Amino acid sequence: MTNFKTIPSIEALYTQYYPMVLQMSLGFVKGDRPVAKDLAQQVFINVWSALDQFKETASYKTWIYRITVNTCLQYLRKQKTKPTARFDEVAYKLQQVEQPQENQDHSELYTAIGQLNEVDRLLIMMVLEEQEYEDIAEVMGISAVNVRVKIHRIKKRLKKILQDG
Amino acid sequence: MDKDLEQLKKQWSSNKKEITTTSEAIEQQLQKLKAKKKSSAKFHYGNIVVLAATVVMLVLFFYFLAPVQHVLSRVGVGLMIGGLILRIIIEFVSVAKVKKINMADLAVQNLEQTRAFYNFRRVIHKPITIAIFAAYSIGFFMLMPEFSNYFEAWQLIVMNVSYIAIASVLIWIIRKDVKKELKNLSEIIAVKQELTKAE
Repeated sequence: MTNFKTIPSIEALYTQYYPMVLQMSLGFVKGDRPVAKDLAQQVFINVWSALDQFKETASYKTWIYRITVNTCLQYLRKQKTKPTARFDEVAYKLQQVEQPQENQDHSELYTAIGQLNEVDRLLIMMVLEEQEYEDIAEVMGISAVNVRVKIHRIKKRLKKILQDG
Repeated sequence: MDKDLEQLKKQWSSNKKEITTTSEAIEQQLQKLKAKKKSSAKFHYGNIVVLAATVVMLVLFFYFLAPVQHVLSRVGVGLMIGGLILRIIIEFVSVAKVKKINMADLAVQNLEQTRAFYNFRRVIHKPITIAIFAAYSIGFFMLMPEFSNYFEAWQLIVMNVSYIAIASVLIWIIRKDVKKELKNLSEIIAVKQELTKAE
């Protein structure tokens, strides 16, 4: 009997996982909402492009985490190499200056996470997402033991950041 | 320590709940997504289009407007066009390599693929781009003996000076790009080391 694999549509994945992806993006870019939205959009472009290659060895959630982590790690470099800002981007940035409270989330959460390095930021965000160490290891490609040790160190660092205020 | 983490988890979860999406907003975002996906595909081939247009212009120029007769000039034209064609091939390889980077792979593997890509770009930038640039410039100056039969001295001087000016600007742009890509390479290596480092 043929076993048909049902691939969900990009619309369905977007609806289900957008909050998770945007939240991770916000944490990664230290609460800068316009940048986080742009990053989340890039994540879904990558999800869309890779949708045909999805293998059922992982859940969609783990698979989207992987794409989110990889996109985050590549995104800042791409941003740095962007040659010039388009007029509409400049206009948007100017609008941001006028309404900072709407676009910049300075909550203690993002400020604390933002003080960690890129890799640590992603690791702790997956912990905040209630992911198991084994699942995090499956996303990052390192051993679960190494994940556990790294997270222990990151928690200690976060505690210090929160105490220092 | 766990109390602090629990507090952060609560904050994280409440922030996430605030992210709401209406069906209209989703539809609007998907439209933007479609447009961006198309433009990113076009971006990959931008360099190739510019280079290919230059080759076509050179071919048309030397075939219809200025069909050079001297062997030296013909070799020069060959060097100019050949260098550009080689560059187009390299750009195609580059695009293929970028597309091979699997964004759904494990982070460690993805970083390794990215590192390999930037390493490839480093090799392309350093010896190959310099060689292509040198071949193009030598080809251009090989045209001058024959051009001197048809152009006045001042016209040749203008031609050479403008070539040197354009070449200088191009060298400056290429150097800037090389520096950026080498910086990216070292950053990727550092992130990978950070991720794989045993604690």
